[in-house]
Amino acid sequence: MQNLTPQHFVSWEEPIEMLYACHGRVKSFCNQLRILPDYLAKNGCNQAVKNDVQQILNYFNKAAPLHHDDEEQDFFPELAKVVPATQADIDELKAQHHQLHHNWDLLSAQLEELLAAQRDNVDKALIDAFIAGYDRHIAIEEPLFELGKQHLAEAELNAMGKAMSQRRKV
Amino acid sequence: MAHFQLDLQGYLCPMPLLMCKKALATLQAGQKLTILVNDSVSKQDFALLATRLQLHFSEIAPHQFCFEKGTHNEK
Repeated sequence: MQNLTPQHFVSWEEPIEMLYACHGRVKSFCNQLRILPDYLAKNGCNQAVKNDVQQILNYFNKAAPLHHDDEEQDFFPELAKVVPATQADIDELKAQHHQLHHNWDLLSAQLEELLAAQRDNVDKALIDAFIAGYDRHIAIEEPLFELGKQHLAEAELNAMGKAMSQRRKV
Repeated sequence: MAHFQLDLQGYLCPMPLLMCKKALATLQAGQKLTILVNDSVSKQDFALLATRLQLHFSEIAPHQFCFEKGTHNEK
């Protein structure tokens, strides 16, 4: 077997694609969370649920905060420079990040308890609030991604992509 | 048959998926690529990528996935 060098495949040419990829993960995990209460009621907390819940915890504990850093430290400032009219949306999105983190703190505590067999269900209202928060957020954010694709120069996109890649090195 | 391995354990989601996609673009018919990932990524994402690219996909161990590009005369 031939070992390939990971550095050859580091991708920073398409940072907007990376932002969309993160949203893809969020949407997929939100879909899993949406069906979790009914699934638990019918099947209990079996190994398949534990695996899925652990994946959700891993993603929102480790990767989702990096995605918010990508936006706040790299994408939003560059976008605001070239499309100043986006500043109001950016301010709203940054405020929503705090709310999303707060929603996650409440929900993740219950998910951790579920895995530790300290509870056998998860509060549906917490899940609904978590999903609704992301739905609102993504609805404002993805049009900004499109503006980024249209208005950001290649040099800015490359610099942004490099910073985002660097942020994800373990 | 050439078999390649790519260790992506040093990168968090979504980098492994994007890097894997880039590596798979170089795969020739009959070749295999095994990737090693950490727990920030999910098997479903890679399975979906394999389906999209019409590659054989298998989980060979926890956090180790294998992609195989069929030969031209294979359906």
